[in-house]
Amino acid sequence: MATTIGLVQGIIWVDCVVTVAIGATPSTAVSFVMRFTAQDSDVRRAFKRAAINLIVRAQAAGYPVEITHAVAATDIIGVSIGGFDISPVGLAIHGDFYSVTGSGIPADAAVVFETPALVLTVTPDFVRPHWVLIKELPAEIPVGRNAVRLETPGGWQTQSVPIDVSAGPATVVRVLYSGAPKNRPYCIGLPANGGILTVGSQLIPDPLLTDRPGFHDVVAYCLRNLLAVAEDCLRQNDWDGEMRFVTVFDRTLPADDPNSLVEELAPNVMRTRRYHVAPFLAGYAVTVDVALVVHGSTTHTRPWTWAGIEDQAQVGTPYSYDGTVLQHLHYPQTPGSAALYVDMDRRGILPLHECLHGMADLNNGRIVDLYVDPTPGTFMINKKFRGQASDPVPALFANYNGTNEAADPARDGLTYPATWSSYHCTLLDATRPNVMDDFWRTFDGDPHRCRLDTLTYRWLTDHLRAKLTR
Amino acid sequence: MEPLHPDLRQALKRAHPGLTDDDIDRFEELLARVLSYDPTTEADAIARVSRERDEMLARMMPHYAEVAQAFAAERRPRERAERPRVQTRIKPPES
Repeated sequence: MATTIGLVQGIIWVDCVVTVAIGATPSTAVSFVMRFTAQDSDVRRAFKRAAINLIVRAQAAGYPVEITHAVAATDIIGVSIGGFDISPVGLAIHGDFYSVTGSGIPADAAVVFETPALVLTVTPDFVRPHWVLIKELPAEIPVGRNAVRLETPGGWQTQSVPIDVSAGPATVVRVLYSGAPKNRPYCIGLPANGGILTVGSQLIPDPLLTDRPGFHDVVAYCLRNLLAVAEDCLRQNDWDGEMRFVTVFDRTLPADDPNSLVEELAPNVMRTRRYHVAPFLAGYAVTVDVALVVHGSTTHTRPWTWAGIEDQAQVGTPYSYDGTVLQHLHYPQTPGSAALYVDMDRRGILPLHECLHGMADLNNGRIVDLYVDPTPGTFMINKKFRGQASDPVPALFANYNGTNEAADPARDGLTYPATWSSYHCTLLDATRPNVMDDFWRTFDGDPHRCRLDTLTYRWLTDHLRAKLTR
Repeated sequence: MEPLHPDLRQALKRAHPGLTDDDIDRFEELLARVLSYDPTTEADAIARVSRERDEMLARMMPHYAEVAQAFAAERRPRERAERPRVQTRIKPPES
């Protein structure tokens, strides 16, 4: 038995014989035949049809095929399409997001588009070992057939995958990264908001819907903020490769109640209308665990986030906190949701800070802001209170799953104000504020280097693991 | 919620002579309280704290919204204008 691998250079069907030309170029192609005979059983005929169908599709897509045949013979015995070492995600459309997935992708990888006449190298906006994202596919890339690959200046290179580039229109729903191949991978959604509920109880159109480039820009920023700053809780062990990331941008949305995902709160706060988010996304067949809702208000730019409300009826993974047994529940009933301004200050860690609020659970453990003292509401994992502000900070913060975590006696160098009774857990990096604290006051002006405290990191690790393995 | 940027805090004090850090901290506490309550089950608590917050805003920081908007506008990102960088090479004709 022998195999021949190459592109499908031609297909000719004459009577009951199909001849296919396989090779790198038309001039070097070798012909193989598939003969349909009256003696073929139904099963045999179905196989031959499927094989020819596969060859036709491979020709249209520009994929190489592997033909199995007898040595020195031309009759086709089998057909298969080999895989590629990268996978473009979704359609290639000018001005739209464009993702390529793979493995072991170096941080300096570029995306190369090649036609018979041109080679265009695009610097991506975001690179992870399994994923490269271009926030807007440049219009310089020729419409029509291209071959796309990843490569680095040092010579690392992937295979080339044929793709068809179109001029538009950009898609409404875009899966940026598909995550684990299962029914409900952990999903972070980034929808563009349609309408705003104002302080005066009016519904007004969100100006974001006329600013698609701004939306693309902030999505790329959010991804870098979630997955490429010093705090690695979301990307540890590269497990962000198990997560799905999806955007929704529908410029046709009317500013009616279902499409208005955010509401103003005086003087400058914007928060999500948390019970609107999941139904809105369901209209696009998108189900999320956390939604980072992007809006374009220039008057209410300070973000606020609702923690998720997990589904108590679904399975969970138990954990203990100071002897009390709680659950890392696996599925959300109402996803956590944050309202993020499209032109937010890029020097901070707002997407990460807000996303961590949203990933927590309103009833089984909130992750709250540490930069204010009082925090009413349900159980929180990362803040405790002394009986009096004058009481010393205890040595022990909490016992989580049998392991003691120390308290932070000095509040990461920011110091606890004398009137505060709240206190926090010890930090992973004691030289910088906690991600959930006043990160703007880090000593070197670079909040991107802030980390969490030890307990919140452990709790989030377990919380995410429970959801990623559901 | 985003922590109050130190430069915004200073801008608020400049716009409201006599305003102190303690005043701003108190306002931040009230804001955090309002947002921490559940609107579906704690409407009374929200209304009570909101009244105090609104009164404080009107009496001590009437220009808060304008100052915050101007601050946000100043901090808008510059990278926004950048598009993905593209290098184009024309391939030599095949011999």
